[in-house]
Amino acid sequence: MKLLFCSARSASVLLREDGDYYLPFPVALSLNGENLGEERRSLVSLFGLLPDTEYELSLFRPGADPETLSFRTESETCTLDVRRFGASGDGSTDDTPALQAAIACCPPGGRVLLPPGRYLSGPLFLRSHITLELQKDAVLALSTDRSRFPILPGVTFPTCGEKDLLLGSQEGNPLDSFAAALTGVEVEDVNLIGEGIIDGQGPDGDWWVRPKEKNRSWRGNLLLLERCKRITVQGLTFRNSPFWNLHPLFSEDLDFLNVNVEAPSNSPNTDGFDPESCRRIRLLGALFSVGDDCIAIKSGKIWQGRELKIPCEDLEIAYCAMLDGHGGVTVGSEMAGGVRRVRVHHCWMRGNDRGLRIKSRRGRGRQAVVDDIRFEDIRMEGVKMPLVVNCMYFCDPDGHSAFVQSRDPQPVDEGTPTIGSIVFERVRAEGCQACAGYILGLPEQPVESLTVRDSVFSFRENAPALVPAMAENVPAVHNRGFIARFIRELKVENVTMDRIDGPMVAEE
Amino acid sequence: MSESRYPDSVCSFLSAHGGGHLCSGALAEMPEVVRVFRASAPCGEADPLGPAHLAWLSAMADCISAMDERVYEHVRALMDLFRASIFAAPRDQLLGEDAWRPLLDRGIQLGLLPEDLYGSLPARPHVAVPDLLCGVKGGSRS
Repeated sequence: MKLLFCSARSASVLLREDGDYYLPFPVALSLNGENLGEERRSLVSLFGLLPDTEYELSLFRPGADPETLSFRTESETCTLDVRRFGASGDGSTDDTPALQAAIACCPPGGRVLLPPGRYLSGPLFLRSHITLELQKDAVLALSTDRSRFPILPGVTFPTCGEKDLLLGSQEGNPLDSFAAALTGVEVEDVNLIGEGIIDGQGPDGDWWVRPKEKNRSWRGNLLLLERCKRITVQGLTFRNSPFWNLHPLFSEDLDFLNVNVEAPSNSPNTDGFDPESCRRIRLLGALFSVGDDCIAIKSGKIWQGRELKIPCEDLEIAYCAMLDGHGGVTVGSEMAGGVRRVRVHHCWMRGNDRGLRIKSRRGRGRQAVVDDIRFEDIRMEGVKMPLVVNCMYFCDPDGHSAFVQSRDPQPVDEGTPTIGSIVFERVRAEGCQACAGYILGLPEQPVESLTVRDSVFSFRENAPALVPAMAENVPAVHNRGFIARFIRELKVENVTMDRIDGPMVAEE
Repeated sequence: MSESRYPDSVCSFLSAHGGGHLCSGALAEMPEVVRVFRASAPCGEADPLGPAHLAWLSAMADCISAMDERVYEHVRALMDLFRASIFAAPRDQLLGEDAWRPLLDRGIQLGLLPEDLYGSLPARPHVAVPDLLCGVKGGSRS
């Protein structure tokens, strides 16, 4: 067992390293001798702990000696119960002032506590050095009245100096956007913990009606962390967001542990987790079932990438379950600042359209380098296409133009994006439909390398044909291996494929 | 040709500067629209606050407010051009011109100019003066 995180009131422990979201077999746990019951997940979070207290976690499985892990919780300066600030938790009273007051008054090292109840609230703003805990059966229900939401201005020009203040963000551009249910701007050392729920109430408001139209402002998130450092989000469930659920932006040293993200499969743009121009992020033990991509790694559109040059880098995504979203892990399409050193391992994907999907296009820029992306020890069930790399993604107003879609070499210039190294290792994909992988690079800038090693891909028998990539002139296929065009090196080692038509690797 | 999404002032401006073919307002036209605005910067004019300069900035403000945010990089290019031009103008003269007042108010409303513009127009330009008008005419800035 390995302790990953410990606060004054909680801890997260990796029980074993050889499963995915689930352990290879169930185990029994006890804490200081008290039976916690059976556990099936690889990563577990413990709540209801006391500050500054020694704990011993024991793990039992048949036929093996018990394992134990000792740890001591952090200290805490005080707990502020939001009910003492006037919050009603009745689901109908606007509790925004009481909740915001509790956060604003919390001293460093303190905890703001939401006990069981339904707290109707508008967006709340975090402050540094506090813990916000939503206990089990506590729901922070986001108001559906957008007329009362604060707006984060996209760009505010400086009074003095050179640096613009960027706050509101929408799909890779600094644009006026509603604040998130929980918004952190330049905060540090914050823990957001508990078994409670942050509910965006998407179906009850108008967020999902004509979602691509700006209505007073662009839609906001459930959690926005902008220029934040050392934030841990642990155990919480995020549900029915107006827009992307979790959006860390220009932030670093973030942990997301055992979070659950839920939205209906037909809800528009309800991505699960969209880190944008961030570094050093761990996303471990998360469960996603959303209406768009489960995880989408980004670094801005053209202006942001060119002006700010902030890549998204050093991400670890492990022990997660990605169910039913369009993409399991997507890179882009807003990737103008570059994405590098992403390791996805020990994850389980089920029913996604694509497992790993990299989206780019001409014009994203010289900074738009996607490199060192690793998929290791991944289990896929019913994922239609395990890998798609598309450098001719037809997004944006000119996405269908010849400039983006031409298969003839174009000049390599400041708009040319780059795809470097991608590795698929120990991937077991069952129930594939279209193809094991579809790679469409640029003729003037081919994908540098793709290595697929020690992996198994098996297909549905007579699977329906699907178009594997959103680019012009890509035919629908089924039961195919790797289809690659404009790639410098494609290595396939110790790979087996079941029920495929044609060769394992085809260049077309 | 699809219905124009630009205000009339922008269509007239584009037509007058050889960009009449752009008036459909299609999103894909935006880079060309920005190029036309840059190319038509009234640099070298004897009166830096003359009617040509005012018309250029007014059309640009109209265009900024009408442009689709999906092409932010082009909106941003016009925002920078607008601000740079304002901040490069002689301060006392600029604030003393009644004809310019609606444009300045518009700039404040669009968030391009500071709320306290009339009290604290920055003494030095946000972008170096030589780069403002003539320097961008060739479209070297992005």
